[in-house]
Amino acid sequence: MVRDEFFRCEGLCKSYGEGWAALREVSFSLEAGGSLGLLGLSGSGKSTLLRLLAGLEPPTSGQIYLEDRPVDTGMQKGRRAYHRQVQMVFQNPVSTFSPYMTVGTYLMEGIRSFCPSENTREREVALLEEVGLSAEFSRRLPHELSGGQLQRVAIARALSIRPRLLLLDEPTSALDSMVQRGILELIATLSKRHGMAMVFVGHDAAVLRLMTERMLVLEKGQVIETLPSRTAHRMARTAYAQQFFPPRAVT
Amino acid sequence: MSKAVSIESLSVSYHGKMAVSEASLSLVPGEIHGIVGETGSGKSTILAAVSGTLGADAVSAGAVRYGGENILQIPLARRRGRGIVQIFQNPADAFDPILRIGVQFQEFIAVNRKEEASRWQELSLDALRRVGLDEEQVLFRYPFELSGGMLQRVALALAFLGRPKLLLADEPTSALDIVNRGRVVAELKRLRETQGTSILLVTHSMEVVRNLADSVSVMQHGRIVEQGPRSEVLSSPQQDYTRALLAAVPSFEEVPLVGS
Repeated sequence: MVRDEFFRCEGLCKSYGEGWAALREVSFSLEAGGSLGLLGLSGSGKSTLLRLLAGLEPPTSGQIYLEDRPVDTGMQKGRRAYHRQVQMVFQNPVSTFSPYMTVGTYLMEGIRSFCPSENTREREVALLEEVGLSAEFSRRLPHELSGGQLQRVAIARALSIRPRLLLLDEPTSALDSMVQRGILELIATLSKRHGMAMVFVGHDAAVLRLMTERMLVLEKGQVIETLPSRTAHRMARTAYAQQFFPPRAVT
Repeated sequence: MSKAVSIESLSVSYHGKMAVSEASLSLVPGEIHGIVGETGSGKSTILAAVSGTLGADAVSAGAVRYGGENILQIPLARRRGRGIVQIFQNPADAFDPILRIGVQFQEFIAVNRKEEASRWQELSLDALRRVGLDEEQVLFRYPFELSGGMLQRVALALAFLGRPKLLLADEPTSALDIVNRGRVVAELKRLRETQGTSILLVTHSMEVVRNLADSVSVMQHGRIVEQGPRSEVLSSPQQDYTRALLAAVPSFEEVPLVGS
């Protein structure tokens, strides 16, 4: 066992209805500040796994441990305690915002509900600054922000709770390459600065390689390969995993 | 050679705010032209000007020449039957939420391919198979029962059934994984080869452009800042913006952002 391991899941399974398993026996552990990628095609189980990790659904069997204590998100109290430590950023930032709520109100809600003793206004400005937005964004509504700016606000909101683990569901797949890179660099910086661990889901292996130390390759709900991200493009053994690392054609 | 479509000095503004400024581009029949650039740079507005879906609050100038006339000011209702089909960025918007997919295919075929209406089921299944949806089940589903990626492919299958002369595709692969992206790219090429369809493609994926487009326009702040054959634009870009856009694409060679 890794010494400073703080997050572990053992034998996670998820079935919907009889006989069809979306996820089969997934186990891994993560040290504080560590990073893990989940690579797979649509329907491979990576989003199901992320929903279990986020505490949005209970596993059919298997167990998640946080600091060696079994996590129980079945009750509201347990779920809330878990969400203090584990936060998620979704693929499409627009759908996570209320169209009528300013950026400031949206951030304030997070700060108030989890850290009620703090000076919210001060913290709000500090959070915006951390994600590279000026204090002036506080008054804006979602429709006045670009996709990249919205994703920065979503990251600020996740950060407001000071989580120890950030779950990222293809947070940049809807963005163009320059905006994507800006967001990826921001996430990497914040993870380092706060010692925040990350689980990063995606099907763009080059993005996962930039953002994680290890990746699990998922096929039909099972982990079929575990690869060091940096050399994954040379080390993938199965044809399934190799298809994520196509040789880049020269034009 | 005559042009399939020719956009000339197109400008579009909304409430005094310029969305597209003096944009010109043209496609020969069977050409696939990719438009890339940052979000909000005007890419989708160009497609809307061609399809007639700019909206009532848009002010437009310039020309969209298609089939021997300027169609820019022709309202949507009078554009039907011209062979222009658009696939929207959010495929869910293109379907009636309370009708099963099969019913929507049946209606589409009844309108667009009258003589083959009785074969709708066979035609539908064939089109769905081409986008990798090999289950008859899809026809019995409601739109909300399908994932974003599946719906995107269903929309594409419907577009194929329309046998378009000009296909306007707004981010047709954004919700697809790597295998289905490859499949859709291959089918778009096949559509061009078998039907001679010209395709105007908006995407943020340089990989899709590299594998699909013959020519490229790069947009920034509503203007086309660079334009040319794909190989020239991608391998020897002339503008700093194009160079930055290409350099930002993650590669397997660079140093990762995390870890030691």
